[in-house]
Amino acid sequence: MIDLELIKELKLGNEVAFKKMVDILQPELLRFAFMLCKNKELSLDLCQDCFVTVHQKVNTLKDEKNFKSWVFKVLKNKYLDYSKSPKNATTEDIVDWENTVFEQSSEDKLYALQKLEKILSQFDTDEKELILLVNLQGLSFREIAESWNMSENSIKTRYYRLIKKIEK
Amino acid sequence: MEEKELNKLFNEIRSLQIKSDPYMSTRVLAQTKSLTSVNKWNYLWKFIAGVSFTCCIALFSYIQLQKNSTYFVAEVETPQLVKVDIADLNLPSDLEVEIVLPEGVSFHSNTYAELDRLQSLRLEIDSNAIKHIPFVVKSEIKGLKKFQIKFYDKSNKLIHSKELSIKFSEKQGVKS
Repeated sequence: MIDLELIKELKLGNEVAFKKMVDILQPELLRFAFMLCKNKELSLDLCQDCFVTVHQKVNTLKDEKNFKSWVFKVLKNKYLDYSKSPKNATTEDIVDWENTVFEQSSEDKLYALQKLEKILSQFDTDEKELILLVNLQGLSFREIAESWNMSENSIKTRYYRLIKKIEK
Repeated sequence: MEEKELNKLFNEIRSLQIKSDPYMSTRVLAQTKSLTSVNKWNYLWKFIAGVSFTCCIALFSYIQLQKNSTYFVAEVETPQLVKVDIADLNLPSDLEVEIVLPEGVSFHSNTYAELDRLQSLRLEIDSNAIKHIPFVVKSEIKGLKKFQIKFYDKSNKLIHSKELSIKFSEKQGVKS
């Protein structure tokens, strides 16, 4: 778990603390990145870029409590930067489900992944991010609201609107 | 899809093990170190470029200043003949020229001693007949002095003006 002590050490440039933070957050970030871009290699690249930015800018983080949501925000921005670049524009959107960031998984679990991917495909990146942060990463509305500079109520309203859309 | 079903779906996905990259932190640290060294070089090059640019600007300004501050040298309390060249000015034939002296400088003439009381002198000249305007000045004080030479046409309209600088310094052999 990422505690405040670890973040303080990160701000001091402690490499051991940095490695520990990477070990803790990497699986969650990889899963999040994969759900956004659906490509294993790109997920790894995005995670690496994200950690580089975290290493360089951790000192600009004012509230250490929002560290995790801040890291996810950095990752999402990396993905947006990547997808906005004209050289990365693709017309095809085929997912290679045999080559994911997940360990060998059963047919059922792959089916679950595909099902979630189908659900998420109707949303834009911000909306996907909100759903994934709440349901997959377990971040609270308060954490997301602080990271996004929005009120907790507007985040809740936005989230429940998306859930209603899924239920339909 | 109901909320329960959605939660079940997310639980299933959360339970999937991730293939983490064991060398991720090593690669990230190596990348940040190389970025830091690249940034250091960038800052150094920017600094060198900035200093060079500033030096060029300073040198250019200095040269311009030197160009603008061309002056003649004379001694104080010594009559000095000044010749203002008008051949290349393309002035009309009949005109008036006004010589305005700076403070501390006076005209000098053995024939017309009263000229030394004037601070400016206006003369009618024929620019076809003369190539330069001669006059003799004397300064009582040291320093760079600027003379104004103004040319007027028949209707008393200023048609040209010239500035002349003379630096008056201590007489040789006299200590200040």
